[in-house]
Amino acid sequence: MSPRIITFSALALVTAALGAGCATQGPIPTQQLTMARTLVEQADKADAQRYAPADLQRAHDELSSAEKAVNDQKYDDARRYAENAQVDADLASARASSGEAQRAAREVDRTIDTLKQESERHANDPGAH
Amino acid sequence: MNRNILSAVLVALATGCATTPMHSDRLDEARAEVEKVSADPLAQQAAGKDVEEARNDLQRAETALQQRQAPVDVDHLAYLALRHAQSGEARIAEARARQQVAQAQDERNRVQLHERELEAQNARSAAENAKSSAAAAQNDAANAQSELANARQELKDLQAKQTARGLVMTLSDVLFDTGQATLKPGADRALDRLAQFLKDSPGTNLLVEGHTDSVGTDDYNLALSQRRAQSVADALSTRGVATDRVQTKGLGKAYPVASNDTQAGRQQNRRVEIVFSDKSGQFAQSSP
Repeated sequence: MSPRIITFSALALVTAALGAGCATQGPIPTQQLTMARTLVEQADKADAQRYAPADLQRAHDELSSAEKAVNDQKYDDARRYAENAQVDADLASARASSGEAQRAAREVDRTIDTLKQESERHANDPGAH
Repeated sequence: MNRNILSAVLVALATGCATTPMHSDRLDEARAEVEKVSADPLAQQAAGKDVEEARNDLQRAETALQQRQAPVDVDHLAYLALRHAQSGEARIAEARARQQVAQAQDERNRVQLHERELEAQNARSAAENAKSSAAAAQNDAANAQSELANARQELKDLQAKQTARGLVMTLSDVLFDTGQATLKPGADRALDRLAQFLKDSPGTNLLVEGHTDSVGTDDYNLALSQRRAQSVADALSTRGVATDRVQTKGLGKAYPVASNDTQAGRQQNRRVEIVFSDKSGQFAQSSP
């Protein structure tokens, strides 16, 4: 191997490393994208629009970005976006479910207050039923 | 020359091809969030999976930082950790809300139970009241019945007889001094009973009629019968009977009940008859 060839190879390596933004592109993140789509769909169904609209919007945006990155063949970006979409969608679902539970708790609290008031009225006025 | 180039390549590779900063704001944020959610007493029970994932992400982010990997990767892993931690918090809040609902339902059951007990208590006391009212009514009825029985007994004791003119009681001649209007002490018991009966029957009035036999003049007999009737009325007045409840009438010899031809018949004819009105003060017939 001539010194010339060695020099060329080394230069090519450095150039490649720097040119690629020092990243080596992974494969198309098919699995992450599928999971992200599933989770975003679940969040849509979980009424996240009502309780966590910002989280749901971010999940949709990240999923769009992931799909666009795949089209642009930026697979590492696509994987990160897809993973972000997953956690955003999961958060939206969790907040939707939590919001629904808290609404139920407030409602049952109100019911009890009403009941207690009625009960006290009855205690003060046993004749009224 | 070659050595220099090789060195440069090696350095570039060893430093992870980047001038990695040793700090990431996003990682700080993730650390704080993961710590916060881990500290919650409900973390394991309500958000075990989220917390575990958040910790794994955080660990990978820390490792990436230490290995000076690209900031975009460190931030990405920190973002995953942050979001997993936040999901955990949401699930813990959900669990709390569900506990609250369960407690509230217990509370509601308790309040409703209390309410029902109160109603039952009211119903019981209403029943008690009704029962004692019924008992009182029964008692009143019993009293009324015994009063009626008393009155009947009293009338019987007075030896009153039911006639077309109503109840009639006869005070016989032997209760008066001969030819006089004065009542003998033997009449006291009958008069006491009569006064008691009138007290017990406030609506009943009396018509007191004096009768004689046929011996003597009509004027004498009328006057004597009138005075004897008045004696009875006075005796009742003395015993507390209002005078307006007692009318008197002297009828002389006009209404014999037996023959005036015999001693026994004449004695029967010499009498005072006491006629009872009904309870409203009305007499069956005003006069014989």
